[in-house]
Amino acid sequence: MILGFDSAGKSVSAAVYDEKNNICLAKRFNIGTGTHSVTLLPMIDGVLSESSLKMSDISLIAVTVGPGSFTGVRIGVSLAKGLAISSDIPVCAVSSMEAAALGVLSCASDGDVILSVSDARRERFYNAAFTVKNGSLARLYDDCVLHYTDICNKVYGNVIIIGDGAELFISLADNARFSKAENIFTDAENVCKAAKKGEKTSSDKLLPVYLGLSQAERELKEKSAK
Amino acid sequence: MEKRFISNSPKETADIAASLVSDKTVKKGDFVALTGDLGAGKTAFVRGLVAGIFCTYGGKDKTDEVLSPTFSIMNIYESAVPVWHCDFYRIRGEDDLYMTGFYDCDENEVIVAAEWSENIPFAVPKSAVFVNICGSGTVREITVSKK
Repeated sequence: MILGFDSAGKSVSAAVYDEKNNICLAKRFNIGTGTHSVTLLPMIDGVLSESSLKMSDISLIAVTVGPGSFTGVRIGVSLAKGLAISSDIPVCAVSSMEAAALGVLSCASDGDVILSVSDARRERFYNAAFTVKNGSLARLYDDCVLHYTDICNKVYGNVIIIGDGAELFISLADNARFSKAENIFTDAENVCKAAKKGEKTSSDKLLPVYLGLSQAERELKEKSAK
Repeated sequence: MEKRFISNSPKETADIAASLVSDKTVKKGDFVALTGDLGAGKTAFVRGLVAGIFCTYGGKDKTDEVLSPTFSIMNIYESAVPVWHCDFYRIRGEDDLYMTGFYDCDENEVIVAAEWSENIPFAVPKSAVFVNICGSGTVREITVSKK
């Protein structure tokens, strides 16, 4: 059983997924309250009780580690670490871009390009693009942060846009080859699905992905380079 | 737009700030860039903004919670219009700003009152309200400008 959750963007969600039978046993989703730190843990409680499971029944914790909201990423990663340490469960770090892209996979065709975007302010977006190959996602480039014009020059063909920055991206890019996915938000069920193929690791190896270094980290790196 | 005020005390500085909220010079979605020497009254000004929000829009009175964010970098006062009170003195660039959690605010729903915003020129919107406080002794000249 996989317990998955996401709080890296505007929405917050949690799910329990039976990976042997490929069934989502329970899931919760919330958007608009802006209080992921308050919402997430009761959601996890909710999905566990709805699926009549305890933490001891969970074999893997899957969490989106970014890129995305600084606070949101920290909430998800800290919670995953806390739960994993206390229950001695491995974790799987999932890219928030990949988890979002999986949300559109079932209605995409082979060869389609899926672009995940999340607002990084000032017309820049966290993004990653995937193509659909034999019903699975094949990554075209790593998660990165780019100005929308650079993203437009990076992805070709007809592109399905997903992620909580989709509406903003389409309003800026204003190009007929971009179409918005029906539901743009990340669902924790897809975090679990991504983790099925992801790498299991111990909680101490789980790190947030910010796509940038803090002042302290930068100074340490400069010091080490000398 | 440019307005000039003379203040003779921290209370008058706060009252001037509150009047800017009630006459809508400062409103939800605004970025207020504050400049002024140490002790000029920037925190007193923000206290006035928060008091003005309570008087104009109701909600909870968070005036007494207003403190200098020099060490915390960011204080958030969850009033009828939330105020994000920031001190960017120690912020050196884009990554640092991201690491403060500043980008997690919904810029259209809050008022940002930023000290040392000259350290983050890339993040100051063109529509910002600039407030400069200068003077000596107990007298301050407060200049408020907006493009």
